[in-house]
Amino acid sequence: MEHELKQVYEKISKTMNLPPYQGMSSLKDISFAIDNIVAELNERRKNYAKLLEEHIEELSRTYQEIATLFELNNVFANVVDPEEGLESLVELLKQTIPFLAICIELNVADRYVYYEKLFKLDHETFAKAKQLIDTKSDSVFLIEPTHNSEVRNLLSIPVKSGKSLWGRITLVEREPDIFTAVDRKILEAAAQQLSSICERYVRLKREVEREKLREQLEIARQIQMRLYPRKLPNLSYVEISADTVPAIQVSGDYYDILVRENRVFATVADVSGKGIPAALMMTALRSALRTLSRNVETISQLAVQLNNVLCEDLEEDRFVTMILLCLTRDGELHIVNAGHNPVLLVSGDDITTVEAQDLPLGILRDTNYREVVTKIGTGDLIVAYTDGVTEARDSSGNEYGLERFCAKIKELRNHSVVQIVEQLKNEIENFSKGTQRHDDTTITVIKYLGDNSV
Amino acid sequence: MGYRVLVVDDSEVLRKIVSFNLTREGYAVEEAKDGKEALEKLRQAKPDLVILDIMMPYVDGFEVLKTMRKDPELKDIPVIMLTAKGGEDDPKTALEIGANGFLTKPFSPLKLLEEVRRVIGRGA
Repeated sequence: MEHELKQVYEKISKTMNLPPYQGMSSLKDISFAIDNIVAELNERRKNYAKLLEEHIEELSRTYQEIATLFELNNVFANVVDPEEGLESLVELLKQTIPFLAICIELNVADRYVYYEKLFKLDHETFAKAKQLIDTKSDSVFLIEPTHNSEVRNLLSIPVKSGKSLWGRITLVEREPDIFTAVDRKILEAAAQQLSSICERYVRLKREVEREKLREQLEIARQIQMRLYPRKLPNLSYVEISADTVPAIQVSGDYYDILVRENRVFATVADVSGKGIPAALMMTALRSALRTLSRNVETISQLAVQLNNVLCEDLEEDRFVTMILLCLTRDGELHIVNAGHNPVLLVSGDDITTVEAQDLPLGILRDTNYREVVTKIGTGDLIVAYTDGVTEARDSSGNEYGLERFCAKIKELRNHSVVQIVEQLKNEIENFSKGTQRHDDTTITVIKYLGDNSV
Repeated sequence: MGYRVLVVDDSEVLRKIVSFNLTREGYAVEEAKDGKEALEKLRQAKPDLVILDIMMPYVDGFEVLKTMRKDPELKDIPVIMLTAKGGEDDPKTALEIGANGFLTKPFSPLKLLEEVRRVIGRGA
């Protein structure tokens, strides 16, 4: 019996890696040895239980971390302003990383966002911690307790996307322990989310500004449209129609019709360039022309004076090409062509052109402008236009050209001037369908009805 | 005496995580690995709260909850449902058939404790 017990003990101690019990001689000894084994087993069980608990604790922490990473997405899901959501972000980070203070600094477009929260840190240490960070840098800062810094430890991650550095997010002092690799991963994920918000904010901001500009441009367009003559003079010896279409909302083209002492003054002009700069010059040109036209006898005088005003006002690389027309009741027509497209005189099936004779306005002071004088007959048409007409292009890049324009005018010449302008406009519109209009387009058509006063 | 909570989930790891966090806060925790075992343990133990996973083999969480709400002895026991991230309609359905709260996996164990405290109405 004793021998068998000894054998049992040997077997157990061998499997448990215990030292063989020496000098066992009695049952008492064996019973004592077995007590030892039971004590050892209990100790081991306790250790295993502790180990298991530690594992579950670790697992639970990991689960918390994963949950945090998932939640980070939700915090900013519908956020537009970078400041929104910071409070929830901090709360979320705090659930996972036991830091004592946090500071988030962002520079987004015109916004400076600063957020700080101290949980268990004094202001003095926090201020010191902030001094340790270079806000201009785009690298990660990590201070460990072994660095013997005034701040026990610190983890600071830049908020950036591509080349844009938006700011940084800094955790000050972790309690207990040191910042872990997982802490860093989570903070990086938070920074990533923040940078997406910053990008989104900048894009939105730009969009809003573009929209504002579009609105202002639309207002400018409406103002400019009112500067063109709204009601053309109703005279017994002429029929007049004119229209303009801007390339980009506002135009550098100008046309006007004035009646002075039974004479019709008409003008078509084109300020070099397009858009707002050209439109601003067009308004200045209109004021100058309307003022000067009261005190001049001839259109060549008007051209000289306008040129001198424009030479003073225009920037060096800007100029104005212009047609000035003056038609009397008896069909005498005076034309000044200052560097502009030819004026077309349509008489029956014949079209003659009056080409540019002098420099555009605004180039050389005291330039002399010559008048062409001619007599036109009843039913004749005078057509003045800007280069947006003949230089219109189709989708293959072909130019509309003067030839096509003249052919169309001939075809339409017996229509009313309103119809002629309308149909010429449609023709060009159709020709350049599917392309972007590249210049302002203006057409003025005058039909002489003959001196019917007598 | 601490409140008694029954944790029902087919994932052992998740059961352990929930149990660990609840036990540490002083709750007495029992576990069930599927809907069938849950219903058995519910009838035996009548816990103060059930934490119930939706996706389980055989009898799912919705079934368990529906059965509970029809049973006069079990119908008043509060239930927190655990829903998966993808199941967008789950929380709505869960609340409609009488859940008292829900958490979306992966949930923060801290949020779990908050939710448990909220549903029971006080701490352990």
